[in-house]
Amino acid sequence: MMTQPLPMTADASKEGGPVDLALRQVERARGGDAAAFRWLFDRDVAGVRRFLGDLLRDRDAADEAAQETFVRAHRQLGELRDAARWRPFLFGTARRVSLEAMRRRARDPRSLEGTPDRADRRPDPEGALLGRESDRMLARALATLDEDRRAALVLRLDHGLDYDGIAEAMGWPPAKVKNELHRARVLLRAALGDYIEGES
Amino acid sequence: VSQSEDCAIAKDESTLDRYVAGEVEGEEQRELAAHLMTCTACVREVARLRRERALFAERATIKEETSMMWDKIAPQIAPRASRRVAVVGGLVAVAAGALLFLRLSGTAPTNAPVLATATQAPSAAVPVPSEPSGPHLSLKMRVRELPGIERLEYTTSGAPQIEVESVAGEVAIDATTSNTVKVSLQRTDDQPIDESWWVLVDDRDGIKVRVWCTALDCGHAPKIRIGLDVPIHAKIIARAVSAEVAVHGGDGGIVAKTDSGMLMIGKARNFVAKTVSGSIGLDTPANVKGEAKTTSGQVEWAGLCGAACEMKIKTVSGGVEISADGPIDVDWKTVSGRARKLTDDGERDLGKVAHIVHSVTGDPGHATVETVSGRVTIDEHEPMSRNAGEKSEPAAELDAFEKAHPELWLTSPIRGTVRKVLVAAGDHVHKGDMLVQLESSAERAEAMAVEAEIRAADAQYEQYRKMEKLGAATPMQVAEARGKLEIARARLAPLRALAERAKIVAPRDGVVREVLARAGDKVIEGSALIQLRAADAEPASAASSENGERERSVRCDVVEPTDWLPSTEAAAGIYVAAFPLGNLRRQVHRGQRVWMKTDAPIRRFEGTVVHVQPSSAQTDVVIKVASPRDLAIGDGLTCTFDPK
Repeated sequence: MMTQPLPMTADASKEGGPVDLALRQVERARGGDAAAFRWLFDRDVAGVRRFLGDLLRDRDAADEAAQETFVRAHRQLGELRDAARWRPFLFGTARRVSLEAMRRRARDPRSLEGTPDRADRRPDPEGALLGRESDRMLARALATLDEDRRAALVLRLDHGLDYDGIAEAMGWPPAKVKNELHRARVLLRAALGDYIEGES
Repeated sequence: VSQSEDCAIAKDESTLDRYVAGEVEGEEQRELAAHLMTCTACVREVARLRRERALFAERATIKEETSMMWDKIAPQIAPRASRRVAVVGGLVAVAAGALLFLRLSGTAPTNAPVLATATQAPSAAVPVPSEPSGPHLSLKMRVRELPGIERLEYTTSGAPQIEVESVAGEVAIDATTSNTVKVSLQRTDDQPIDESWWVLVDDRDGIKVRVWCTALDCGHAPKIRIGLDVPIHAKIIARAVSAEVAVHGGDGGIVAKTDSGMLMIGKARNFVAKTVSGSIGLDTPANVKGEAKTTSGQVEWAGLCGAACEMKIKTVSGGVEISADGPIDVDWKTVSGRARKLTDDGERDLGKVAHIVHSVTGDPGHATVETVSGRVTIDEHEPMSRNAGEKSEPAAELDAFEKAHPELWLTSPIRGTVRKVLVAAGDHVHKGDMLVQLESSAERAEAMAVEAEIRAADAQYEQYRKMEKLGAATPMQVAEARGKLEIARARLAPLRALAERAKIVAPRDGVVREVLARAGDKVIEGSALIQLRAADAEPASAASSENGERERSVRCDVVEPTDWLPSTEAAAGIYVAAFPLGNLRRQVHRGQRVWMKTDAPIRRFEGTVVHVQPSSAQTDVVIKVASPRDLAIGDGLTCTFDPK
């Protein structure tokens, strides 16, 4: 994935683990280091794109929104006070971009990506590509959730954000995160059935 | 494994969720682990949570090429360090790319500002700011085919005031459509708009759109066109620095200002258009009420006037052309010397005529046209009976007009280069003084060509003469060569006449207020060079100023004592008369001391006021010179009156 050498300094390598390195890279990117931002992009772009794919349910729209997310995140890096909050910040940005895209789509029914049944025809690009039954199943299950819950749930399960991070990305109070995740799980499990409940 | 199926920890799965994710540590983790040893419900829940994660984890293993995506965003994030913050109108905007700052508050100023940036990827989606919130305003924004900004759309139900500001851009406002305000940026050469162009939309108080360019060479860059579609009743304020402003429609009134750009006003019934050196184009509907002012630009008025039309057009050195239909009653003012009228037979110098009134029968609309040194053209569609200025006293009209215009911009009559500036701000000048020496580029090029021609013709003539002596050329050939030389020489004469035009002389006495011209400057017809303030327009208290001497000075001439001199003073001596005194008259009295000097060579004299004429007379004051060495009748001097 990486097409550029890591901007590793002796200082950074001393820090060790991947989390610490990411922290370093965020700090560097915030200081204007383009290579560090590229490192973050390479690390997180797939996740952001998948997240936007889950939200927008349209491959092209997700790609476009992912680009916009990184552009905007780069511009707003200065507002990121704590480098450790990079991922909540990034996914929060992605979520705002997706909301804007959806609103735009709703306002302009002529827009191609806005045709509501398109998502049904291509429920999950990755899953369709690989033809994996479990992926198609997951996509269908996610589709039964409303947009907010779906976003919170995938942030938790797919992207590993903690509760505070989800609150930050969604702009919710922490109590709401817990509540919404619980409801989302109930619905997801109902839709997935045996996939979650297992043989028992 | 005995805990009840409805364990609270299992039901609210968040604790186990965090446990599965490895987010639970220390004492809490140990407690949970112990609990899991005994609680079936929690064990089952943990199993579900793990399967959930596994489903997502499988999906996340799919890799896709992302370098293409990076290539698209890389150019947008590159210049981050160089361009940071701009503050306009109290708003702070930070941008890496072309920027839209949208503050959507409508009438509710509590809403948070929304910052949106135009991205540069083709058809990249730009954030649509928050839902319509104010009762009067909603916003729909779309940016496509970037880089740059193509279109912003507002929907509004009110009648907002719209303000557009531009630095080095072009502003075009089209208010012919109702219900939407659309802002669009477009380069007139269809090149993409780069990140040096910034747009700021602020609707806290009316709608303000500001466009400016951060690059150094924006002034030379191809123009940006900002399109703004506004409700027909909107009030529009457009301001620009070195930009063009075009406003179309807007029944709510238009105020358009630009420093050096052009102003276009169309289909507006109520407007004020002001520009320093730009031209103004007016295309008006009937019954328009408008005012157009420019210092050195041309004003063109087309369209309709109508019965209730009220139009004021003023220019200092620009031309005015009116081709409006309908009955127009025109007040037409222009100052002498350079005022010309374009007629069917070509340009006619109006000479000293300062004020011409055209009127028509019926119930006419009214238009006032004033120009100091420009050109006024009126295309008379309707028969106009001349209630002509010829009837009035030209000199009086001129005086009145000059008094009304104490400050006069002198502008270049030609296209060319400033050779020399002979005055500085604060200098007192007299009528006829040379202020600026210009060089016409056409004249210069032509003169060089003609001079070269003369040299060539001269050389050939000399050669033929030598050849004739040797018998190698005929007298015919010599005569022909001589003829060519003379033709070439004759062509120099009109060029010398042009050179005369290239001198800017003071049209009246005054003080130089401002000097814009600098040696080497390129100028065009109408470029403002020097601002001159009429000497008598100075306040009376000027006597106490450091330039008091100048303020108390006036041009005067040596005259013969004639019968108008009171008999008691009709003794031998040299007398000097000054006319007109203007405002100075109030300070002059009989017996006052006067210092006089000639210009070149400078010689000084002293004298006393012996007579002050009543205002109706030709001569204002008569001064007896104490020791008039070498003064002759007709000599010109500067007379400076004692302040006491």
